[in-house]
Amino acid sequence: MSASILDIEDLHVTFRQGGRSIHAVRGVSLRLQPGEVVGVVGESGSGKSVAMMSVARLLDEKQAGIRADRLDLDGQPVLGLRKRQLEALRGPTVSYIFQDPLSSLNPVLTVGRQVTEGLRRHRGLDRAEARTVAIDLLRQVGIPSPELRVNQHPHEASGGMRQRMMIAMALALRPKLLIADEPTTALDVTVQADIIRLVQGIQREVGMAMIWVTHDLALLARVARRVVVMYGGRIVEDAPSSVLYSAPAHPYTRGLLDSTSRFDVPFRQQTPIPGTPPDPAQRIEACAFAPRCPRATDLCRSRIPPLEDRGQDRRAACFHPLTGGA
Amino acid sequence: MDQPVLVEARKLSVEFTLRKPLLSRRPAPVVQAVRNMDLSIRRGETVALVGESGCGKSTLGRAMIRTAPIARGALRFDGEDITHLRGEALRSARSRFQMIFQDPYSSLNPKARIFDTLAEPLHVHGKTSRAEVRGKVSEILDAVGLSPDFAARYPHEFSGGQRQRVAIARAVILQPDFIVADEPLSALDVSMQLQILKLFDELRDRFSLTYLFISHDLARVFSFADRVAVMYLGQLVEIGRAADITANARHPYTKALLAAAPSPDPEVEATREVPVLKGDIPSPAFPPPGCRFHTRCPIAMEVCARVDPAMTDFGGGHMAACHAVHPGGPSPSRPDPTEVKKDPTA
Ligand SMILES: Nc1ncnc2c1ncn2[C@@H]1O[C@H](COP(=O)(O)OP(=O)(O)OP(=O)(O)O)[C@@H](O)[C@H]1O
Ligand SMILES: Nc1ncnc2c1ncn2[C@@H]1O[C@H](COP(=O)(O)OP(=O)(O)O)[C@@H](O)[C@H]1O
Ligand code: SF4
Ligand code: SF4
Ligand SMILES: [Mg+2]
Ligand SMILES: [Mg+2]
Repeated sequence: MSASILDIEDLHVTFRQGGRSIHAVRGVSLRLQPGEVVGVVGESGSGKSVAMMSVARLLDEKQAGIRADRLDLDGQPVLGLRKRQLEALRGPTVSYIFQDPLSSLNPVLTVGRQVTEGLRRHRGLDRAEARTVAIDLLRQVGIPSPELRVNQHPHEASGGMRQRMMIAMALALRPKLLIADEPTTALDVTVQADIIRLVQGIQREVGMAMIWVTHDLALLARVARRVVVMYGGRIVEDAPSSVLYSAPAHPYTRGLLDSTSRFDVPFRQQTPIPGTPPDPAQRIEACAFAPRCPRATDLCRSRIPPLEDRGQDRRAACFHPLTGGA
Repeated sequence: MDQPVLVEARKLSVEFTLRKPLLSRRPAPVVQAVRNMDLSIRRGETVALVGESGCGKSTLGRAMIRTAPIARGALRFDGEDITHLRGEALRSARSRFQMIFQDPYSSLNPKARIFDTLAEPLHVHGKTSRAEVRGKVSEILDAVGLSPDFAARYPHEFSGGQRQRVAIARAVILQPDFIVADEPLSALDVSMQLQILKLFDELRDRFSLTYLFISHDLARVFSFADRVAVMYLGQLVEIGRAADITANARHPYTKALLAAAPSPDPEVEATREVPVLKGDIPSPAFPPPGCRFHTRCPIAMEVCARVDPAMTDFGGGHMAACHAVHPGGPSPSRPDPTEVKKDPTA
C-alpha cells in the first residue's frame, strides 16, 4: 500500500457558541489512497463539511477547536501549520469546491484574475501567460466564449457558469486531493449531470484523489467507488459502493437509501427515516441513531457502537447490523 | 377521476418589464415568464410542475392564485372567472388558495411564536374565540406531526424539516381548496424530503386538497403526482399522466430530465450513458427563436430554429410540443399569445 494522501485519526471539532459547545465532529478516522474517489454522505448537520474543511484548515479557528491524533495531508501534518505553509498547500495539494460559488468568488475581481490567482502565486506566471491559461481552463470546464468571459465579473454569470468557474479555479493547480462539497445541489438536474461528468472526466485524466460531499446517496452511485456515511459527527459506515448499495450494514444507510428520489419504487412504497437528527449541542453516550432506529435495543441506548471491520473492506458502527457480520 | 375542474388557466401569459439598460435607446426588455399556458387541475388532483431554474414555474404558480400579474389569457376557479377579480372579492377568494415556499427559513416570521404564526390567518378570516383558535392550532400541529408544546416556541428553535411542517400547518389551517407548493422540498435533505412529501400525501387525503406541486426533481415527485407538466423557458413542453411521462416521454427535454436523475445503484450508473444537454438554460428575456429548446436539443433539425412547435395530442391527456414526435412531419406553429384576446372565453 502506498502512502496515504489523507490520513485522519480520531478527529474532533467543537464550536464554542454563546457558552455552549457544538460537537460537530465526534471522532472521525479516515484514510484515502492517492487517486481514490470517495463519497461522504449524511444529513444536514452530520459534520461532513466541518470534517472536510478541517482537512484544508478552512474553518475559522477562533470559533472551532480542532483536535486529532493525526491529520496528515500527503504525509504532512496540517495541524500546527502556519498561514504561509497552509497557503503553499492549498492549490497544489488540496482544493475545495463549495456549494455556493457566489460566496467564494470575489465579486470585484474578473473571472480570469480569480481563476489564475493560484497560478500566478505558485507558478509565477505573468499577466499574459495567466490569461492564456485562464482561457484554456474556462474552455475545459465547458464555458462558451471563454475569451469574453475572462474579463467579466462573477455576477454576470448564471449559477451553472459560476460553479464551472469555481471548478476551473480549484483545478488550476492540479491538486492531489479535490474536495467537492455539495458542488451541484444548487443547480438544475441537467446542469448537475453535465458538471458531474466534467469533474469526473478531469479527475480520471489527472488521477487526483477526490472526496464528494453530499446528502444524496443516489448521486454518489454515479461517482464514488467507496462511500463513507456520517451521522451525528461520526462515521457509521464505510464501504465499497459495490456492497454498500446492495447490502448496507447500518440501519441509517438503509434509511438513506430508502429516502432517495427514484423512479423504480412507487411513492406509496417509499419509507422515510422517522424523527430528526441529534442535537449537536448534546453529549451522546449511546448510538446517536437509536431514537430513530427500528432495530434499537437497550444496548444501543447505553453505549456508543464502535466502528469495526466487517469484512469486504467494510467498517460499520452498529450493534445489530443488517449484513456484514455481527 | 371524474371530479370537476377546480382551477383552469387558459392561454395564460405573465410578463415582467425589466429595467432598461443605462443609456440604451431600445425599449426596456420584456420577459414572458409564462407564455400561453393551458393547464386545468381537477378537484383532488395533484399536478407536478417540473422544469429548470427560471423557466417560469413559480410565476405560473403565483398567477394561478392571482399573486402574479396576468398579462393575457384567463383564469377560472371553481367555475368562476377570477382573471379580473379585485378588492374584497379577490381577498375572499384568496382564502381558498395557499402557497408554500421553498425556504422554510424566510417564509416564517422569526419574531413570532409558532402559535401566533398559526393563529394569524384564523384572526384575519374571522375566527376570534380564544378557545376556538387554541383548539384549531393544536389540531393542526398534530396534523403536521408536531407536538402541541411547539406552539410556544420560535422558528429558530426548529430544524429545516420542522419549519417546513410549520409552514404547511399555516397553509392548511384555513382548509383551503387549492395549494401551490413551490419547491417545498428543495431546501431539505433527501431524508427530510421524503418525510415532508409523506406529510403532503396524508394532508391531501385528510383535507381533500388539490395541489400544484412545483419541483425540479422529477424522480422525487412523479409517483406522488397524478399528472406531470414539464415547462421550458415559460412554455409547456409536455404534459400527461405521471406514468405516461416516465414510461413514454415524448419531448427530448423531458427525456433529458428523466435521464439526468441518478439511480441509487452503482451497477446501473456504471453502464448508463447520461445524455448531457449542451450548455445552460438561455435567458428567458431573450429566448431562442423557433423551438425554445433547440439550442440544447440533441436531435434539433433545421425547422426547429424557425418554427415553435404546437402541442401534439397523443391521447389520454398526453401532449408534447416537438417537431420530431409530430406524426407525419414537422408540427404546425404554436399560436402567438399576443394575438390571443385578453379573455378567450368572452
Ligand atoms: N418580479 C419579477 N420581475 C422581473 N422578472 C421576474 C420577476 N419574477 C420572475 N421574473 C423572471 O421570470 C422568469 C421566470 O421566473 P420564475 O421565478 O417563475 O422561475 P422558476 O421556474 O420558478 O425558477 P426557479 O427554479 O429558479 O425557482 C425568470 O426569468 C425570472 O427572472
Ligand atoms: N461556525 C460554526 N459555529 C457553530 N456551529 C457550527 C459552525 N459550523 C458548523 N457548525 C455546526 O456543526 C455541525 C456540523 O456542521 P456541518 O459539518 O456543516 O454539517 P454538514 O456539512 O454535514 O451538513 C452542525 O450542527 C452545525 O450547525
Ligand atoms: S447500534 Fe442499535 S440503534 Fe444504533 S444503528 Fe445499530 S441497531 Fe440501530
Ligand atoms: S422541436 Fe426540434 S429542437 Fe425542439 S425539442 Fe423537438 S427536436 Fe428538439
Ligand atoms: Mg455541509
Ligand atoms: Mg421558483
